[in-house]
Amino acid sequence: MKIYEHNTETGQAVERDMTAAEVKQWKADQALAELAVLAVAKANAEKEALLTKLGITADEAKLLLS
Amino acid sequence: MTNPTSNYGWVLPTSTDLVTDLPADFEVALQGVDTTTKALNPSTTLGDIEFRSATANTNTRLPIGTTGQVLAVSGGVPAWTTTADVTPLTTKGDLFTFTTVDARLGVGTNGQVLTADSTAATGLAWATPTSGSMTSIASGSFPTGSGTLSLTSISGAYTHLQLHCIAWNGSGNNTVIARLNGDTGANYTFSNGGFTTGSARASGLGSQTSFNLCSGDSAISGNNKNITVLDIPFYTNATTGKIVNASTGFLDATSARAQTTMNGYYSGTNAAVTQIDFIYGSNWSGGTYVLYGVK
Repeated sequence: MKIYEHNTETGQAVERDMTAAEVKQWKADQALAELAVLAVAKANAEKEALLTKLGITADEAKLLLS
Repeated sequence: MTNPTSNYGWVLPTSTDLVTDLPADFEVALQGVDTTTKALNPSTTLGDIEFRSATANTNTRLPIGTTGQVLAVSGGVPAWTTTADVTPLTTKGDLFTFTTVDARLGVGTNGQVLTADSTAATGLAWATPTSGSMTSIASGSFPTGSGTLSLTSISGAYTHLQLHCIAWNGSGNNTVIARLNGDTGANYTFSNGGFTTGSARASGLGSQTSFNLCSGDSAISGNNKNITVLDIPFYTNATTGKIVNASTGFLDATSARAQTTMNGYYSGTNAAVTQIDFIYGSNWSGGTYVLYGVK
């Protein structure tokens, strides 16, 4: 895993290997992001299931809530 | 010849004058000439000049002026005066200004602008613009060998930071996060809104370890050219956390056009922002970035 560091003071940019701690953090970041994606997907699926159960469309549901 | 003479009235001997009277007659005539000549030429000193006075056949002496003076008209007659038209300019870029006399204002430094300044002797001053300017602090291309851009040692000389990430893309479906000052603590609160996967989106999260710029969505890569603009106003403010706002245009996981905004609050420390990490889930395959300092 690489990290691209751009020092804005000196203008120097270097690409270096991530440290072990940075790799660990990067993996944690990605896991959290994946969880967020899954959470949204789950919420969408639950929403679709509820609409199906109610027998109405998403637009009709919006109309009800408006 | 008329007697007395027509122009100066000199009295000459006449044909009936006795020879014995001639010395006295010439004395009268030549004294007249002498008096007239002196009246017409009153100069006494090197550089003196004369001009016609109000009295006929009488000139007025004007002593020479001082170095640099020029001849002008004052009160209807010639007079030496110190000129106001001698340039005070000496150097490239000088401006001709005025205090109570003509004055020189030297050129400012690169990027400065001329501004009114009532405290300055000339009423003018060169000043560095304090508002309305954007300065590129750092720029480059996203490296293809990594997915984390870390902008470090950011100057505190501005009031606002704006990061432009243009046409960035990579491989796989991944999200994008941002982090300040390398802080991985649970100090990030944000909400996301936008339109993705065919519907409007609104969500919010607290106590996160980074800002997720498109939470719940994966910015798809392929040939897509995503764009993100991230703002951090008042980033040197040392008494509160920091507001971070971002907007991203991308293709979502269904390859549909999508847009998301992120409004965030960083509460980890009140220190100025000196580092921004822009992190993608895989290696970039293109795009450029520019970090601007805004005044």
